[in-house]
Amino acid sequence: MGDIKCLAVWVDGLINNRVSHDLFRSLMLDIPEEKLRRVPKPELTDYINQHFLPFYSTARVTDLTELKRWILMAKMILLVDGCPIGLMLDAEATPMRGITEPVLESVVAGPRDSFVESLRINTALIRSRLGDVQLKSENFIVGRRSNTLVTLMYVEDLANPLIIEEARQRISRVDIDGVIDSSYLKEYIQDRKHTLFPLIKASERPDKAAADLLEGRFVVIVDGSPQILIAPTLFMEFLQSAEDYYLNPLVVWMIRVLRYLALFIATNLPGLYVAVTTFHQELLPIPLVFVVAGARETVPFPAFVEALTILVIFELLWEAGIRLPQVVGAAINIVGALILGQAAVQAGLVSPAMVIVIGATAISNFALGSGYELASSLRLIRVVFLIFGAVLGLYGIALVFLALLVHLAGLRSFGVPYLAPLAPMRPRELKDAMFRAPWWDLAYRPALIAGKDLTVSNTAPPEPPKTPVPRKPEN
Amino acid sequence: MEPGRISNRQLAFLMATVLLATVIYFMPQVAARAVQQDSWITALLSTVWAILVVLTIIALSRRFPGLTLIEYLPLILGKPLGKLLGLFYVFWFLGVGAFVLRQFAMLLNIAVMPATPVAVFMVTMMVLVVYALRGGLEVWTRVNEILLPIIIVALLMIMVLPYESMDFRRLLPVASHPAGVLMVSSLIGASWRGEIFMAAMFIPALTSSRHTSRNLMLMVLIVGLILAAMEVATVAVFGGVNAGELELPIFSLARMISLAKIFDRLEVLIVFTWVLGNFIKICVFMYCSTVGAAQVMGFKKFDFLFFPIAVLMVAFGDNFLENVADFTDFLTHVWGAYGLLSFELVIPFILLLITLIRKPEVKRDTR
Repeated sequence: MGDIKCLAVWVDGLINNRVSHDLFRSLMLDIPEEKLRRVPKPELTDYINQHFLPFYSTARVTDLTELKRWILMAKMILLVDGCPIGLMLDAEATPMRGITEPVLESVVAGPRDSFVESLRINTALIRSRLGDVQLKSENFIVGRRSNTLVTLMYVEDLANPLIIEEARQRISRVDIDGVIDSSYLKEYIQDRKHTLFPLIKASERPDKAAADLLEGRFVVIVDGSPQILIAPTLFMEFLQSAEDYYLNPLVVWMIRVLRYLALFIATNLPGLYVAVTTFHQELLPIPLVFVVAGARETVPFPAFVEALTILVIFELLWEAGIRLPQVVGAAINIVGALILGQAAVQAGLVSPAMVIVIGATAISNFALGSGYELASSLRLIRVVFLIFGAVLGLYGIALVFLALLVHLAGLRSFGVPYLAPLAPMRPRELKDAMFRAPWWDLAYRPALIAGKDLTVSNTAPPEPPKTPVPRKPEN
Repeated sequence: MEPGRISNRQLAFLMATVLLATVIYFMPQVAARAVQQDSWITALLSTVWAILVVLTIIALSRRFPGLTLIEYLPLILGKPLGKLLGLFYVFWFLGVGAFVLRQFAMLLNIAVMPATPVAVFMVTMMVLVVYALRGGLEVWTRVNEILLPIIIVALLMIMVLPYESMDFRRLLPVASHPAGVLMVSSLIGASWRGEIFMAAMFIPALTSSRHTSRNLMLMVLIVGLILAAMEVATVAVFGGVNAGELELPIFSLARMISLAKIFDRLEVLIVFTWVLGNFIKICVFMYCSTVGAAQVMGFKKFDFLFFPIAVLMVAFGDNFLENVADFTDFLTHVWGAYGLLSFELVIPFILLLITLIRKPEVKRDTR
């Protein structure tokens, strides 16, 4: 710009090239020099900002550290010689992938978009579903070195202000080097230091986030992570799927009963099988005793060792299946099915009944609704049940069950009891949690989570018209 | 001193589990031995006793809001006597708790795992109970909210499923025993039902005192009905005389069930409810003993007492009874007098009378 020197600073690759081109063109070509001369030097940046950069979101920067941080957070900085104020231009164009279908929480019915690594797109996905002026978002910058942008979103008049304040405090208390993924943050802001159970729900589904916001929960989005955090979370939610709310309620009820069964099988079946075959054969109907005993005849190990071995192998298969490149995946399938299933049984190392038991357990483990997190914690619980079932029989299983219940009942997610609405029992909310009532019957928000406004809908249930709808006479 | 707060519903659920946990296993036999086919009437009669207990306890708690039984004893009787009686109560909780622990272990030992020593069951259960209690009152009452429905559903199944073997003519003639005999026989059952007086240790922890007595009485009534139904089922299947001779009628009842050749070993269901119910029951006794002991001795906290009292309870339980004969002896000869006729109803009732006459000054709790 003639004799005025300017400096634009940015990190190559993080800035949209079109914006920088526009900026340079307007600075170098469009601004008439004589106009600039009339402006006193300290006000030059403001002048440029107000008159020649009408299309960009900008901000004034006076502090040097703040300025450095903006540069590293994918912003462009414009400095003008002689002017003490810098100008920040939002021209962010971080490399990212497009919106795809959810990987962990796939559905048949319902929306198919999922969150991506960019925070802006994620907030947009939520906002496009909730056009409410009360939907608030607050920004935090977490991570001393990563300077990650973290957004807390909630619907102001639905959420419980105490819970939101607690969330705010917990997030701003976090002081670590870097937040690479939302799971980093999760471990800092949950209510308990050590627990197997997910106290904060992670999700990749914008429809779920929107529905949860409407229930009065809050959402934490971390830049760079396609998994957003939703809290307060209840245990029952891990047995629900987003699809539950898009299908026929009666069908969903059946599916949920299946999931409770799956939860029971996934945790208990190996332990129960070992307990019954070792201690309480008399509990089985006599024909079944013969079948099981006959199958176990050639097996050289006690049932406990047998079960543990197959469980460990199943875990190995699971882990290998995730880590292996897809091209070798087929090999793993063959090894798993043929060598383990077929050969081990034929050689008499493992009884077919045990393969069935572990197989059923493995299937149930992934039939829990939306609980990949829960599924991965159940792996350990299963082993505990197995050990106690082998040592103390059914009594041992009852003991572990009780201990687990005590642990679960003691958990809280942002102050909300984890086992609600089962314990403390809230019959009105059970019709959403245990089975899914039709939408017109789900007229209330969960009172432990939401703030004051509990009414979801005032619509009366559909009714067939009293008089038949008048129709045109045919011909 | 108890930081946790529970709701009225939770208290009623808690007491229901305490009552259902053991009484339903022994009562059908004990009552049938005394009055044969009229055993279900004694179940209803003992409900009246239990309601009296509830009324007494609630009346006392109303006069001393925010205080537990152990805390208002010195206010009524004066410090030395009140503390002494408080100590007796603590030993009652401890003793009966030990008894419950022992009978819990004994039944498991007899019915499920005869080769495992009784002490194994007692120690493992006590470890679990202490773990639960350390979580706080709120936590294990919440656990109970999940357990109670499971227990009730299991009991209903046991009651209804042997319908093929039932013959309700075995209940005839109705009320053939004189009223006096029925009344006396109801006392044993009432001693179990009177355990509801332990609610006096929980009332200060309630979030609101509205409907407390209504909820508790409703609960006593429902438990009475379940019990009566169970006795009707037992008598209908086995007949009045046989029911009195069975070791554990409810187990025999479960053995009668055979559905589609698959569900024909439902005893395991009973053992499971037995473990669940007794877990809560022992929690309640442990809680009352520890809180009571702390209050008698004037401690502000009670967490540190869990370990010593747990050890005491296991030790007592291990030495309480030698065999099943001792056990039935205690139930038929001692339990009625030790329970309802002293600590559960009569002493609280006398306390209430003294309160009404002397009107001791109430130190208002400022919570």
